[in-house]
Amino acid sequence: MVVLKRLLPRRSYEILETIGTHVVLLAVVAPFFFVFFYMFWNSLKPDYLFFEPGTWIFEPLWSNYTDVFEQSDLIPNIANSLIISTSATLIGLVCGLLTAYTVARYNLRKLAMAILVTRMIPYITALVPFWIVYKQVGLLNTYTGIILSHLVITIPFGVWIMMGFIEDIPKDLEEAAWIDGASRTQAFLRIVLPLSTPGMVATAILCFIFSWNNFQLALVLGGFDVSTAPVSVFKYADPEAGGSGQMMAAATLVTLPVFFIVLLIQKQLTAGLTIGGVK
Amino acid sequence: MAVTPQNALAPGLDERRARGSLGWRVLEWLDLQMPIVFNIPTVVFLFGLVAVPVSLVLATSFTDWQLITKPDPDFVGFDNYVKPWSDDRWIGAIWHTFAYAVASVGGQFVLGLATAMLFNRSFAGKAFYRSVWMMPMVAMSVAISLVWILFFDNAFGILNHGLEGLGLDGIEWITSPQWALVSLIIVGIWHHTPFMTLILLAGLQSLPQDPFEAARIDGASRWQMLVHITLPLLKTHIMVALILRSIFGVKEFDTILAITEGGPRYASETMNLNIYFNAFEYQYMGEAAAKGVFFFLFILCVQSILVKLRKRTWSY
Repeated sequence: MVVLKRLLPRRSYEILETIGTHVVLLAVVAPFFFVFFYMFWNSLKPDYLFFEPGTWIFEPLWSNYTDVFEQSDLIPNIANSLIISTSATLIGLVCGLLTAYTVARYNLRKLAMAILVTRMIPYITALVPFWIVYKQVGLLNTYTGIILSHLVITIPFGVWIMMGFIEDIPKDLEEAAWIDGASRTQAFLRIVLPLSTPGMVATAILCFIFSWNNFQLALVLGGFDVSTAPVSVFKYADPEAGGSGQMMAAATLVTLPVFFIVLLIQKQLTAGLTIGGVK
Repeated sequence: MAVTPQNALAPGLDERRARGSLGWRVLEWLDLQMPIVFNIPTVVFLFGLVAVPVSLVLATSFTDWQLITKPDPDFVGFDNYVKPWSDDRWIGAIWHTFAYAVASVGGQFVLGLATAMLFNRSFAGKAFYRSVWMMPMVAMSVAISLVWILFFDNAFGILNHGLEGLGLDGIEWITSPQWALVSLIIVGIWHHTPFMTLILLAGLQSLPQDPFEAARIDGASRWQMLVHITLPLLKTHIMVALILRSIFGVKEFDTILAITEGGPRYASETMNLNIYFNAFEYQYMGEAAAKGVFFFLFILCVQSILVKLRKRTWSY
């Protein structure tokens, strides 16, 4: 590099450097993109072509998707997942906002630490007692049961991320409202709430994605009536179950919606994930 | 920063107390009780969803409860905590958990640091590359497991197809005991490197520029700048990323169950899967509960060791 920098005129060196950066970037990003490309491409592939991994061009076959609709419980389970993840996200968001606000403004560090510890409990440790209690009170295989269990994901995560966003809202604004005669609650509702909307959007989407992707909770606590999308997708883990085409079609169906969300609000998501990790 | 005194009224409200109407009294009460009232939902939910199960799992762990073969549990003391240690499968599971977490987090760290430094440069189309880069982070782990199952296929997977194209022998990726865990580690690295990149990139962007200028003037090489300036300055972010990722690595479940089911012959079974099978396939509730408690303590240990390390690096 250094030698080239000396040899070439400045302009051509810059062009060369730009090209070089993009080549490296593409090489780095390619394996990450390839998995998703393969997922989609093979969802259109007839099953017999799976035995010719070198074949990339073929007549696209959309029937893999209709087969998934007809032969598996993926569609009803996607609907279930939407209900469960949305409910868990909304509850987690409200709890997260309220707790994050008090933690940030009253400096409730102990509460924040307690919530962080709950994030460390492995689901499997909690699942044994969950299952025992649910069996007793009949919550296995119900919406309420799975939504409650998903709150273990969304509430601690919601609190933790909202804390980062709320700490970024200057306190002076609330104080100005207090002086003008607003109560703390009013200042919270009229000043903090509107200002934290972008943070809430990012938090909600992250909570939703984590809840949507969660497999273990519904695997144990769900059942024949109520289960979630990952559980349906898991049934395809055996290639004998529906063939490679259906496998990839099912995977594509649950992955694509999330990607659209990510593309739409990439910036806020990055902010949310970074705040959740670093602070 | 001035700490707001607890239970203080907003100053404006205090002056208007004279109004004394019901609405104002409600607001006043809310102001005074805010830290309690606002936390009621969170505390109630988390208490019910965490404290109750934790006490129940402790109680269960001291019994010999098995759903089918021993439905009436008896108190057995610490039996469930002692017995697993003579079980090779459980010892193996601990070892696999450890190996999986160390290897996958190590791989993620090296790749994550390299890519974070790459993304820290300025170039056109950054948003595009970053979106693609973020995809694995938000992809459903069960769904991407399906793709990797096809990749790993012995006869028709593209990995072996590629190896054969290079004139090498194919590998039994997920059907041989010596490769199964390695394959899962590859998937783990693929899946979670972007998160590492994200945290380290945030760290790199927050670094001061002066030390780098000074080093450049002193004629330091790029490698020297990385080892002596970037890494020490980045230590907080590195430790945070390592702590988070190793906890998640220890807990990994979805990809392992979907890709190998802990097999072949338990060669890739981690603690999480072992407990899952114990509880929900063999229905040994007592033993599974004890192992679950141990698993939680194991995670707490990993966490506190890493936090200790982080404190030590800070005083440096």
